[in-house]
Amino acid sequence: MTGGRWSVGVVAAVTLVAVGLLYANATLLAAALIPLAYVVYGALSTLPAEPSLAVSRQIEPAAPAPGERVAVTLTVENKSESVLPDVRVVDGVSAELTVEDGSPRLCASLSPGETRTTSYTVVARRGTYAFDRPLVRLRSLAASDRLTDELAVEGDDELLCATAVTTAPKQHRQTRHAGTVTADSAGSGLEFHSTRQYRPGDPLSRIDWHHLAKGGEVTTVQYREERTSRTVLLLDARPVNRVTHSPGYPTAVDRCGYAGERLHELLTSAGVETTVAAVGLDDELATEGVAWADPTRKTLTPQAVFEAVARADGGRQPASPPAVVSPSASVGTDAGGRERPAARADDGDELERVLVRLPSNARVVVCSPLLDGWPVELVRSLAGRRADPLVVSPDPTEGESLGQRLLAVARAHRIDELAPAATVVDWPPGEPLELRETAPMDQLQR
Amino acid sequence: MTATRHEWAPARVSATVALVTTLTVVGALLWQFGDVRWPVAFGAVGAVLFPLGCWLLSDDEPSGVARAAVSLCTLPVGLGLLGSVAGGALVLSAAAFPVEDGALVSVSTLLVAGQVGVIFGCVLALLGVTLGVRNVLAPVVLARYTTTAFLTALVPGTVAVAIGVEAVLFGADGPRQLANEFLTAAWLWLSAGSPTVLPVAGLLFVLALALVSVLAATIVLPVAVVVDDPARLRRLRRTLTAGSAVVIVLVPVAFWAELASASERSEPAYGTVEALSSVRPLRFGLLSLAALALVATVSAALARWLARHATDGFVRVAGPLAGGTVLTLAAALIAVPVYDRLLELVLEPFPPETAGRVEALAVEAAGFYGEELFAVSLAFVLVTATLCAVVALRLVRFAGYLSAETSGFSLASAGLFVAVVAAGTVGTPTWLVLGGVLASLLVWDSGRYGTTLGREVGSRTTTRGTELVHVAGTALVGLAGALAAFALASRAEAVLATPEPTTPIALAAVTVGIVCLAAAIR
Repeated sequence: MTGGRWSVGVVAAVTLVAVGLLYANATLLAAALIPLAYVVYGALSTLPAEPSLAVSRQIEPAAPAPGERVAVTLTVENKSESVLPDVRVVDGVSAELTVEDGSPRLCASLSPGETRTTSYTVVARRGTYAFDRPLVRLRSLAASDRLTDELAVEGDDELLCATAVTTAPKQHRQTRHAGTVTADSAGSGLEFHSTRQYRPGDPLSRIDWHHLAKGGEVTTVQYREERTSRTVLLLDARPVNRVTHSPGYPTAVDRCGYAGERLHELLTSAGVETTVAAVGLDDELATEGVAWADPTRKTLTPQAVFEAVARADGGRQPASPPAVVSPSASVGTDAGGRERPAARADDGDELERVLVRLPSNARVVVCSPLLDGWPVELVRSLAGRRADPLVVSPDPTEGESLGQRLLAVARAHRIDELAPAATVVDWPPGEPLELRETAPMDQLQR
Repeated sequence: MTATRHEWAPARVSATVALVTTLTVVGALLWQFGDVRWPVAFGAVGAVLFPLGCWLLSDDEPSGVARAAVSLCTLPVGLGLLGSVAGGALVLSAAAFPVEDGALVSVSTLLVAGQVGVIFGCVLALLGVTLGVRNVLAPVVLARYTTTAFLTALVPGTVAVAIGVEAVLFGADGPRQLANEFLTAAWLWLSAGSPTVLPVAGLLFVLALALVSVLAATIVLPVAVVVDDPARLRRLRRTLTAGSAVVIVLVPVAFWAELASASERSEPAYGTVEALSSVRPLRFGLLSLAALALVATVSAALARWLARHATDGFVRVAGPLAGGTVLTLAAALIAVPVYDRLLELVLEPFPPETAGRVEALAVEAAGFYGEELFAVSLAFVLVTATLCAVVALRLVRFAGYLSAETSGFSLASAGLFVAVVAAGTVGTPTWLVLGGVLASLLVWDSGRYGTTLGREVGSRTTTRGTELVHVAGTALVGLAGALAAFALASRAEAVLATPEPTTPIALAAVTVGIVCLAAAIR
């Protein structure tokens, strides 16, 4: 409770009386009644003895995907028997979430039993976000009496933006079959490849008995070799990609990480041996900027790489919001205005390091927003492999500003450049990834 | 429970009520006092430009251009805030004096003081309501404004001191006079004015100037973007470079030749060359081309430099200094008409004999120091007035007499109150005084309410209903108080109309008591 709001009325009344007396002016003397009336008004106007409010909150959908818009509805009801002329409510939205539409604040005059609602939309980011209790401030009609309190809320108080790997792990299929991908080389398999001179140690089942019966020469049948289907999932987490099209939305790197986790889950559940790699990391897990989680070596787990990518993106630090994408993003600045390098100074070396470690028989999936030429160069370097690379590209250029439109044109040009050499999945913000990945994923899982 | 910085705008209904109420009362006072309209109009310009400057400086990191713009505004702001009151006092005094009877001096003085109070109050109200609606009076903004005004005032102050010292040391033949003579002679030579001097060398010099300027423009301006063939641009630059070099070499040759052949100028051949070289349209065409190219080149280079260094520390200082330089140059250029008009205004209230003597002194002083000194000094005074106003605002806020959150509307309310009380002392109708007092309190309340509401729930929240309830309550209470005051005023006038011998003593005692009461309340 505060008092003295209308003490200004006393000062005004005293001044009017003083000047009125000095000039012997009846009008000014009488005018002192007006501020005095306000002084009385301020003193008499108070809040009810026991104001009572009920607040409830509804979050829809409760488990959204990153970047998805979530509607939050806050309802306030006057449970007391008195009129509350000035009720102000501020919902306790987590500082890490950005309100995109509407307002989490409510202002109303409530009669007994009256209900008011405010709705707003937040953009989901990966993680679990707890909502604080709403802060309520009541004022009397003259605004001279004030009461501030936090209220318990009924309904939802948490936003859970689940990631793919946090769901229950599936039992991976164990198969004796070497793999599903046929190679040009001769070895064990099902499809006939060639015959050769028998060598001691060749299994009897592979001796060509017909040839032996015809000519008396012992030969061994060779089949087209079948190898394990192997995929390398490469996440482009370089600083140049740590941008978003609008404040509050996940950055392109964040979405790359999300796409990587979804792809990893789908591929491993389909029995595809999947290596997860990330470039542009300054994390201790990364060797010279590249983190490599090879399932055969088990030195680094895919989950560790995904977490390193999330850390590189700033994690969930609201104090360092990501930069909004702009034409200068490639040589841009972060939110604090500090100059930020477009990419690592040794981009060429980084490309070499990735290419050296890529197994020759592996399919490559690149998750990159294509904001510079590095991924294009990478895909060009992969030309001639047995399968075209797949590029999953979260689009961070959706915006109305001239700079964002220019950047979108440059990005579209890069997608066109990649088209002959790779399958590109363009992933606009606000749309679920599942709808976009069906056809290419079928190819990957074959 | 505070909205973000960008949402921190006063709630619309309350701000609109405060704005409309202020404008209505100011309009009514201007309607009542016709003599104060022009001074208040001057003040309104300052009242609008000051918040504009605050708004320009309210960015996280104001650029040098914004600081220069604010710097340019400091003079009109000073003219509006100080000039309106001082000028109003001058005009009103000119109208009220001289008086026919010595006994009327005090009455006329009170009348002038009351009307000056109306001017001051109205200007303060307009300033306050503009600041309140924009809500830009943050401490950091006032600190930046202080720095900007101080740096701006440095330039005219320094120049005024330099002109004064030069006048004292050198008299009429100082460096300024020499520079004036040199510039006049140079202009006559370049523009082929009469008498014509070294015409061929002059033409070649102007031609070289134009060629070099165009060459610089082709280098600095982004011409390559609009030219399809880069080879053409390169050829053009090569041609201009070669042409400039040739003409620059020819200038001293022609200069020497014309000086050496001064005795043979009577020959017809030289006469023809002289006539051709002295064609003034040709000279003006070349000079215009050079000026255009130079302005474009300098503007482009400056814009490019500013874009790269807009937030550098040097630019923060350079912006206000550039603004001060522009103001000083402008003051020097219009010095003569400004000085004459001011002198005319000052001399108007004096009797003709006194006015004649003062005018003679003023003319003598202007002849010795130059009108420029007075104009530049006036610019310095006006910018310093703005600086003082900002410092005063900071001091008042520092002392706690002005709420940090609702400074604008508090100023508006105080201004209206002062204007209405001042108007009440010079015989304003009762309804206007009572309405004005009610309005000043309504502006204070609705402005404060709207500002805190906007800060707590943001501008995106619907607040209309709650605001209307609050404003209606305040207006009704004020209306009831005004009706009671009107009834009381009717009776009090009858009582005060028949004063007793002890009335002055009683009034003085009551006044002292009220002042003591006010001090105790504070």
